[in-house]
Amino acid sequence: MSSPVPAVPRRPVTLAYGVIAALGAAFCVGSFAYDWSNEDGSIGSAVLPRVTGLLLLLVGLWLVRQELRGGSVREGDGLVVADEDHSPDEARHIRRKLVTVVATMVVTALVIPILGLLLSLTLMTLFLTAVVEKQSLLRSLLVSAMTFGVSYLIFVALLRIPLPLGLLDPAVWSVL
Amino acid sequence: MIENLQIGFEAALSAENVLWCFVGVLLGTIIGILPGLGSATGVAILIPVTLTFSPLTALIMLAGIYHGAQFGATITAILIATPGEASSVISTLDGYQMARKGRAGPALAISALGAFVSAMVSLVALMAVAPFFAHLALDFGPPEMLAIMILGLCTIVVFSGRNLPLGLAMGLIGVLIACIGVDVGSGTARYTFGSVELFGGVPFVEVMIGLFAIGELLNQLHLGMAAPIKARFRDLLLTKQDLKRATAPTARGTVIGFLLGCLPGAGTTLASFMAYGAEKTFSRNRKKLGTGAIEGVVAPDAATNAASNANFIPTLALGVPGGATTAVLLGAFLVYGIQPGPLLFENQPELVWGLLVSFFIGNVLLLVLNLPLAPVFAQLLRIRYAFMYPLIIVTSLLGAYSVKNSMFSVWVVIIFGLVGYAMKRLNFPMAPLVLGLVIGPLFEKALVQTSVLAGDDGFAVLATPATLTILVLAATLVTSPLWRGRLRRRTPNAPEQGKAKDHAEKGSHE
Amino acid sequence: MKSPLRTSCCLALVAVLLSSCSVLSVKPPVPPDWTPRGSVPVMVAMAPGGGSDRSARVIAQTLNELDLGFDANVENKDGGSGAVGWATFMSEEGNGNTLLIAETALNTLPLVYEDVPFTYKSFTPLVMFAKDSRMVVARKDAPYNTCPELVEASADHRVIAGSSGRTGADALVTGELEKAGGTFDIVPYGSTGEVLTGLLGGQIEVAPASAASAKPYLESGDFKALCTLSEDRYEDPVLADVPTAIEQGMDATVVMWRGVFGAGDIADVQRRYWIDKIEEGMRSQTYRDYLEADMLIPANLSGEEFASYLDDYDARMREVF
Repeated sequence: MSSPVPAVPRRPVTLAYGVIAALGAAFCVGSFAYDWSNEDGSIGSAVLPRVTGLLLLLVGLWLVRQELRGGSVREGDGLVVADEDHSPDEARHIRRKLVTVVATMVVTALVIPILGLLLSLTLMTLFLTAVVEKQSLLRSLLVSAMTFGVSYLIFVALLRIPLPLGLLDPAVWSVL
Repeated sequence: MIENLQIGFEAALSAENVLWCFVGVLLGTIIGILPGLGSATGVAILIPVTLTFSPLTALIMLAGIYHGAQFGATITAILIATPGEASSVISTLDGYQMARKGRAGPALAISALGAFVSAMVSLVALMAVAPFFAHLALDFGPPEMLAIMILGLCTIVVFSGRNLPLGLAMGLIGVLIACIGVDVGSGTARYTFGSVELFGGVPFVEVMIGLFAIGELLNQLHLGMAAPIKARFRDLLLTKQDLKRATAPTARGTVIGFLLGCLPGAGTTLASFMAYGAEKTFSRNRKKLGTGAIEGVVAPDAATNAASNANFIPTLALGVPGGATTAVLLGAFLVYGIQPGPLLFENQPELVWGLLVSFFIGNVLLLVLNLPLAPVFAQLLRIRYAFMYPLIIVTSLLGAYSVKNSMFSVWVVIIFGLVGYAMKRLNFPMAPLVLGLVIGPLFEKALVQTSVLAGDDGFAVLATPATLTILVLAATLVTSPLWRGRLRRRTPNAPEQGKAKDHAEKGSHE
Repeated sequence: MKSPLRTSCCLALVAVLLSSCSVLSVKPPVPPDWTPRGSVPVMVAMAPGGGSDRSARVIAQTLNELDLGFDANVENKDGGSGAVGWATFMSEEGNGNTLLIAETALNTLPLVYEDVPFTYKSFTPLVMFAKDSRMVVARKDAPYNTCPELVEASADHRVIAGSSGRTGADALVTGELEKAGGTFDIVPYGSTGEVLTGLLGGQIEVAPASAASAKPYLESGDFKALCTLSEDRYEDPVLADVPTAIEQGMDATVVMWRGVFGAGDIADVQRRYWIDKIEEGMRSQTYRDYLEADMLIPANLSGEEFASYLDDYDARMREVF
């Protein structure tokens, strides 16, 4: 730290460092629920998380301090890729797409117990390509159908992995 | 040995065996390509299919799956940064960067070639000195393993790049995540908060799929969709210079992989990391590592393959599993009515030597299969990203589910996908985190075992020649930034400049 | 044009609503001529390649060989020494179209970890198909030859033993030896394979081992067997010389069971169907070969008998843990 580059501390980075320190503290505190040593005197289950947690807390605090003292714009330590090459409009568009894609993944995971794994993922592909990416419907349908076909061939026909079928499971219907 | 080889060739070189070997490596490649599904699971689910075969044919096919999976896993790692197996995580670092620069073809080809060469070398070593290495490996008890794990943790320094505290923090987070679940020492359920799913710990493979595949995908979406990569035909082939640069790393990777693979339980994943760490320390091009250097692709691949072959040393010579997949294979021995154990070489020479010879055949088949396919696979990157990323999500979630047939895995992938995205945006290094995650449990196990063995003597048990050598090596590694920094000041480097421009497309794997 | 974001949010809401009022909560009565259909998952809470997995694959195979119009498929759901798989199997309650292969740890795990949601009573016992025991093996140059000698030696000087887990069979063995007066420093290992490696390498002196895993090393002369904790000697030519602990004057036995369960609360028709078919499968050559190769002790307890066996077993385990 002989000649710190004069720069403003970057908020997301400081926040992330804070989270790191908090994580260390949490694990360290949590480790007090476990034994430091076993009955036979060997190393207990609390040792590793407590020591590691404490170290992480210290390193985290060190990182926060480093950042607050003007930061260091060296490679590999923070936001190098800024958003400057995106216009505000683009940035908003990108953010919305990211949220949509993540939400779609979550929704897919939620409907898997109902529709089964393969069907849910196929519908997800269709939704992402046709609606989110606005590709032509024909192509999207084609890609989704291929996804279903290839997955079915490999996972069900070839490897016989028991994928969940949700409500389409014949076992559900045989009970009714 | 020549006589034994003859027995082996006579046994293995029937049309039927070669055919099933081919089926095995092909299936293995597919299983390897799929993220999540590893060779251990692949072999286990295909054991019932082989029940009607003769024992040798069945084992040849299963071993083919094992070898094929190693090859296949690298393909997805290079093309879409999705590790197909735990041991191919490290291939995502440089392999994926090569792919983004339009050099996916050479990356795939050199990885196949490096894997092939190291497989051949390690197989010869396996045949010639298996019993010797097996007994050497037995001398590696908990204290020696502890030293190796310390060495492993020290490579975090190498993986951290210039911001050492940050790399250290990532490594520590990895170790802490690995603490979740039932610990091997006392069987205490740690940080499970009443969730039974967490009893088994945070699943490693799923975390990798999330961090690397989904994290990178969201990052690409953030950057405004990766453009399809149209490589010229010339760029799809290996150049003479590529081959020259790959030679030394292949040799280093093979040696590291073979030695670590001999030790029961050290694992191929650790071998790949150590090989990459060695490149970061010793390679002439070490500064380019992480930006798509061929050394970073070929060394870990060579190590993985050497280790997976060396895994057979304790398996065949002693009857104890060298790794997860060989443990499943040992189970398969019993299914076919063969008793594995120290007398296997004596009692079943035809089977053992036939199997070993089939490894050669399998690796030749894999090379013949993979080299011509490398440019073809590279063409997959021409798919428009709007179609590409839904497919990546599908394979990631499907693969994650099939690891344990569990929805929990799917959620882990999604959650760690978000974590991975955040890390990419903040430019946090991922490799130390993975390293901590891999080594954490192994380190703790060795630590607890050593503490039992030590009893009242304290850690005096660590004072054996082997442990001391390894610990000195670790100390050299930790202090390497110091003496390397001095070297750097003497030789100013120009090529470092102008790298920031394409930084947008590369992760933070310095 | 609707925003994709809003669409996905709506979908999420629908998904949550649907899963909360799931159609599955409707439960019509099971017809008297019930038979399983389609794919029958045979769940095993251990990783592929181990003893449990192997037994599950054998049972699934014997059922498939009967050709009853369904397909038994093994599903591994491992983690936490079985805790993950068994907790998951609880959600199958009332589903007769699925089976579970379990073993001793189902008794012991809930005793060690209070926060697992299941006990052996959470599932319907169908058939116990095999019993297993453990031997105590030592390096060939160990200064003791029998289990009582081992116990005696351990009072004298430090004896380092290995164990593959706190809830498994190895813990029962060390428990019995300690009950007889032995004191050991126990090195924890991740699996039986690792324990044997430690014993071969000389890091530990004694270890519990199953008959099948110990046999090759007894044959090769690397290990010697001190005693077997089974009730009777093994019939195998190599192992027949090994005396039981009882013969050596030590009141110590370790018995582990392997059995098939149905989900909790299944209909009586389903229970009887499975008991019937599993027992039929156990008459096959596949099953007999399996017992022989793995050196298991044949057993056949079904339904109520199996249930009361488990009750007794549980009572005994409560003393150990």
